[in-house]
Order: sequence, then C-alpha cells, then structure tokens
Amino acid sequence: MLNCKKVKKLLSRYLDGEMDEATSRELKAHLEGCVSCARELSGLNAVKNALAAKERKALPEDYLVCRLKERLHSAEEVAPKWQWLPDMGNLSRRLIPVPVAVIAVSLAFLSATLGEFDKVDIVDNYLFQDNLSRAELSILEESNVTLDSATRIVFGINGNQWR
Amino acid sequence: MNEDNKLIGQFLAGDIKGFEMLVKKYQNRTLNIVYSLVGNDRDSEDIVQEVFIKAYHGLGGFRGSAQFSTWLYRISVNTTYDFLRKRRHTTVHEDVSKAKAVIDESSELSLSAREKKEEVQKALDSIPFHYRSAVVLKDIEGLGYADIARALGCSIGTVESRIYRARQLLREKLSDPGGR
Repeated sequence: MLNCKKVKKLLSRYLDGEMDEATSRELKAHLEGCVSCARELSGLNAVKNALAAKERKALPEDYLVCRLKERLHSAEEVAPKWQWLPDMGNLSRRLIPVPVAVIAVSLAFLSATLGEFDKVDIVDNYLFQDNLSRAELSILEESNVTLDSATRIVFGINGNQWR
Repeated sequence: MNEDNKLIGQFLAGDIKGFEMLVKKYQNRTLNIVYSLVGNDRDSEDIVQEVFIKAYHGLGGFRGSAQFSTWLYRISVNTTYDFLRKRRHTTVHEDVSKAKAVIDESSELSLSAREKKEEVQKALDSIPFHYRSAVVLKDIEGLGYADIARALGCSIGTVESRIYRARQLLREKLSDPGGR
C-alpha cells in the first residue's frame, strides 16, 4: 500500500510515463482519494508544461558548419578530412620522410666525396650548398630543415672532418 | 544500422559530409539544451560550437554502444558545466559587437507571453546545475530516464529524484507555472 511520502517520490516517474502498470494503477487509486498528493501532482505537471512550452532557439542551417570550418582552419586544428583534397593531404604528409631520407643519403654521399679534400673552409659550405638543386632546396624548405642545418648534418655525418 | 551510425561511418571513412549532416541534424537540439542550461544566446552559441569541435575530434573514439545523440548530449552538459564553472571565477566582458546568429522564436510573442518565458528561464538559472540538467533533458529535449542516466553518467533512480526535486524548486520559483 502506498502512503503519501512514497507517492510524492513517485510522482515525477508517474508524470513522465516511466512507471510500470501495476504501480501506476496503485498510485492513481491513491491520488483519487488524496487531495494533497493530487495537488502536488498538479503543480509538478504545470512545471512540466511550462518547460515544454519554453521558447525554442534555432541557428540558420549552414551557419554552424561554416563557423566550425573557419575555427578548425584558423586554429590549425584541421584534421585531414576537412580539406579539399583530404587524401592528398594525408599522402603528402606520409611521404615527407621519403624525400628527407633521399636528401640525407645524397648529402652523406656528397660530403664523403668532398671529404677527400684535405682542407675545407667556410667557402666550401657555400659551394656545397650551391650544389643542391632547386627541387632539393624546396623539399628541405617544406620539411622545415634550414640550409644551415642540412650543412651541419653533412658535417656531422663525417665527424666534422672539415673543421 | 541507424542513420546517425551511417553518417558517423561516412565521416570516419573520410567524407566530411557525414559530419556536416550530423551537425545540421543536432545543432538546434543541442542549442536548446545548452541555452536552457546557460541562459543566454551568445554563450550558448559558443558552447554549441565547442561541443561540435569536441565531437569532431572525438568521433574516432565513439564506440557506438550508446546512441550518438546521448553521447553528444553528454558532451553538451559537461561542456556547459565547465563553462559555467570557469565563468564563476572570471569577470565577464560581453562583446556586444559580436554577431548573434541565434534566431529567437519568442520575439514575435506578446510582451506578457515573452515575460512568462523569460521567467521560466530565470527560474531554471536559479536551481543547481545537476537538477537543471536532468529536468532540461527530460522536459526540453524529451529524453527517457534511461537516456538521461547515460547522458549524465548516473543511475535512473538519481535521475528520477533530480527531476522531482528540480520540478519542486521550479514550482516554488514560478508564480503561476501553468499560466501562459
């Protein structure tokens, strides 16, 4: 048998249709004979209706998609998917180590060849740098490797034998 | 497979259109939940944006054991909670020049009807967040108790008592909750 205290705790569940049929019947029977619980139910129902009738907000259909794109781009949060050529973007990033490795091997070979000279000064660094093709230079640039660092790498590989 | 899962699959396969469709489908539902929790248009818009940014980055880890909508609402409630907690500790300088895109459907209502709706929002603003979030998911978004429990990360019993308590508090705040 349900008393008022138990009924009041169950009222929201009853109001929201989340109650099993047997308890619902029992509660309904209690409400028919209890003014206090019936009033409580009526008050809760009024609140539920007021919330259901609350104004609804809306955004223009494409507005949020545009703002998200802008934000992802500006914050460099762009995942490869939100780009015009998503697969190319991914591919290019994955392939960056390949030209870098090729350049490193070429530079090592070049430096080994140049290493045959007994005396090398700073001018040789410039000569060495001048020997890089435009394509190699652009790959270095895209890989964020400066010309100086590339030169240092070559000298490092050869144990700074030129110094 | 439901429509949302298809769109998620499409997005994860590299087609951004899948995500765009999800944004368009859920932007207003998310906005209304967030607005009811935070109480103003400008912050709601920013929070909704944040919610979808999180969804964009997090969809790869979405397990699909829950519905996408429940997952998104959980992000919405948590993001709004974090926002309100931070705002409590900072001075708010509203940028009045910032464009506001939210369309207020109550702008065409009479003054008394508008005041009534503002009163409902003020009452919501005044109750504790954990009561507010439960009753908003129930009465604004119309979720069932089980989904609310998943969205809030609590038991169904807790949802039930929070909703009951929230409605009690709101009834005390509203002069005539049944009036229009």
